[in-house]
Amino acid sequence: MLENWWTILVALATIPLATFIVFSLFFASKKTIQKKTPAIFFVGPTESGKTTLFCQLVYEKTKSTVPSIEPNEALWKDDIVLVDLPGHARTKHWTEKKLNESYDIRLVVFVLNSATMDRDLHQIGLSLFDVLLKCRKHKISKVLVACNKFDLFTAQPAKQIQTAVLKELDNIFEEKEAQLDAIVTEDVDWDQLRPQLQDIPLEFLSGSALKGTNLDQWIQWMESSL
Amino acid sequence: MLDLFAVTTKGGIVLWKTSDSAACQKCLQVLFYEAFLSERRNVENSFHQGRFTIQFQESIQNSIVFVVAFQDAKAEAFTQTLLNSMHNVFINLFQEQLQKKKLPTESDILNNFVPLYNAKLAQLSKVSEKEKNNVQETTLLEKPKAPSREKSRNKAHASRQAPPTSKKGKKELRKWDDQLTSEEQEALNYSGKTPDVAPTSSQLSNVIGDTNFQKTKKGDVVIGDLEADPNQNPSATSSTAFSFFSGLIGGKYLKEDDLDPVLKKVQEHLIQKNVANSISLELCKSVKKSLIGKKVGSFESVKQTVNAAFRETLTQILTPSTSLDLLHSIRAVQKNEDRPYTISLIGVNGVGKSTTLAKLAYWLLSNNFRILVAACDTFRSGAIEQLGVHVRNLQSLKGSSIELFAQGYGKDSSFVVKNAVEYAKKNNFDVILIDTAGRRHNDQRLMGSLEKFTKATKLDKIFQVAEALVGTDSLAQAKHFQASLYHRPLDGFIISKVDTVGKLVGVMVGMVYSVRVPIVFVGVGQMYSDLRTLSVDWVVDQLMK
Repeated sequence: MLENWWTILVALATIPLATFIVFSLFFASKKTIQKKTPAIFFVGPTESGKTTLFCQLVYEKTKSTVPSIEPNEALWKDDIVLVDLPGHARTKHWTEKKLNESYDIRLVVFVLNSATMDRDLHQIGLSLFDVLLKCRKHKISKVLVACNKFDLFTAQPAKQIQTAVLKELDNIFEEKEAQLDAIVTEDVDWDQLRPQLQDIPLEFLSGSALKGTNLDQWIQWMESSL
Repeated sequence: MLDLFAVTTKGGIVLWKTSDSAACQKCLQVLFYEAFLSERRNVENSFHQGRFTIQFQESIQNSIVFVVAFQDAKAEAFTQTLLNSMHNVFINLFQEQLQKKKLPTESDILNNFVPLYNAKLAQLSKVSEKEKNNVQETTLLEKPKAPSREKSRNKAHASRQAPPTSKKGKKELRKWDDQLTSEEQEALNYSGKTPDVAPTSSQLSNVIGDTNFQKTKKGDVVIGDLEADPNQNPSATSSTAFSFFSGLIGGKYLKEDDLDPVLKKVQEHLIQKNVANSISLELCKSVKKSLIGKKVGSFESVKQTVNAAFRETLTQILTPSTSLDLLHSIRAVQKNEDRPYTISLIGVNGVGKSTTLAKLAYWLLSNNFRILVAACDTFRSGAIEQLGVHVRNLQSLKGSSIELFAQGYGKDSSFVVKNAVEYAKKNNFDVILIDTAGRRHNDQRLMGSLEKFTKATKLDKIFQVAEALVGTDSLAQAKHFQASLYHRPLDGFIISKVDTVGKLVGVMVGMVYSVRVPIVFVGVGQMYSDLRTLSVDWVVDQLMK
């Protein structure tokens, strides 16, 4: 009698146990609950040198590039993932997609072309504004503005770029206040939003991804903020 | 013969290229901009830059693009085969690395891929010399045989005799003789169908009915939310807990017969949402091209992948490549050029130009600009009075920084607009809003006078107003208005009366797709505040729901 009772108990126990294992596998594979990988995102307008910088850091080589259509991702220094997002306006959906994936974004590097500041200032301002909005949404607290292409003749120094960009950001803030609502209005309280955006610290550093000058300055800053 | 052959990733890294010249680099850039980043998703494979012709092939699963560029027309004969074979060679050589998402290193490529490439190129160049001699003979032979051929697919442009090579990983050249053996037909057949089944089998399966969908196992076309199909209910429940058993087997690669029924359903759905027929056909074609061969994740059904691809395509089409920042442009012109900013509204009769003009005026007044409304509709009785009513309303709402400039009926509108600009300059107005007469887009005389009007003075922005209620005529409207402004592109569309169509907002897609002009504003009612900017996500949601 005792053995029967014991076997019956074991049999009864295995059924819920089996279903528990099955369902936990199911949920685990469905949601892939994994630890969030730390990541650094490269963003910025098109043709600013993000992919070149990415190759310099990951492959330690200067590779020839074309306009990116999709993001590049790779492991750097064995514990951080670098994500290079394409900068063209038509590839904006990738930014949203990548931001919603399970990355623990430690910092964002905004790469811009120091040599075409005069022509692109407004575009850079708008792009940086978008980045700041996303940083606030995803609680990213550090942004490095890498003033790339410093080797070119018409490149402006970082201080000059800093004043110009911050002024442009102010103009954009003013203009956004006067904009029409989109057909879907987001629940955004502009008065609260603006100081939050202005609080995000921006560090402007010059360098050249192609020639490798000042690269270690950028790397140092990236590592120090991890 | 070939100026450039390059292998690049879609992330932007050039893995290997044969030439480092600046012209070739420009070719690559032009290709990427035109093929992947332009407003219209191109379904062609070849582009031009200066004297170069650029062709490419994508490997969709691995996100790699193979590019050739050449100036010599003789090379065109074998570039497609070269692309095909190099594509296969590359994928076979580096399959493991690509699956692990690692890029093959330069030395790998130099040692393994390049010699194969050189050999293939040499072979094809030699062969193309030979075939020029063979072409005359074989075309004579082929003509009497052609009627007896059942497979119309096999168009033999020229016959090529090449010894089949047995190098590992290298693709065998096709033998296109007068007669194909059945095994060669098998080799030529890259679709999942057997060559004996007529090409219309996908159409047949649609005619036979939905019973097909339930029988197949993994490639089941579950189209729940596009339309309430009673047949789908049993399979819908299978996508719960126990479906992961089948999911564990692994993802599948999409093939044409998986995609066709789903695409057809989506196409009909889009047509019901008031997207023009030709546009939805083109959209389906481009989505199909981007999805063939793609790997479906284990938990996704074909329907979900297709929907996601459509969403992406629609978002890409509707997202403008440069954002219109009207306030910024107005201020820039004010600061730098010290002249009034001119915005003109054109469109067919009755779409809402005068109402939209009033809405724009209301908005610009809220930004403290001085507005002059120029009544260049000198044809329709009551047009000037209508604008007068709006101006009076706005004056009472917002003060006297808005005025109406009118010179009566029957005058030439280009004359009126010139006077309006002068008046505005004299009296320090910031913005001139110009209302024009509605005109049928297929009336040559009226479109001609519109052309004259736009050349009369410098117009900073020309917006075409179109109503969301219009059907397929929207495409013709967009094309004709754009054509009449051949010396400058339309700056944007304003789609009015969107509140009347609910979900059926397909007009937007058609107009943007056909002339590559973005939508800048959307009108959602008859009050002054009923003007919105376009939210691409909302439109895509409405279209795909």
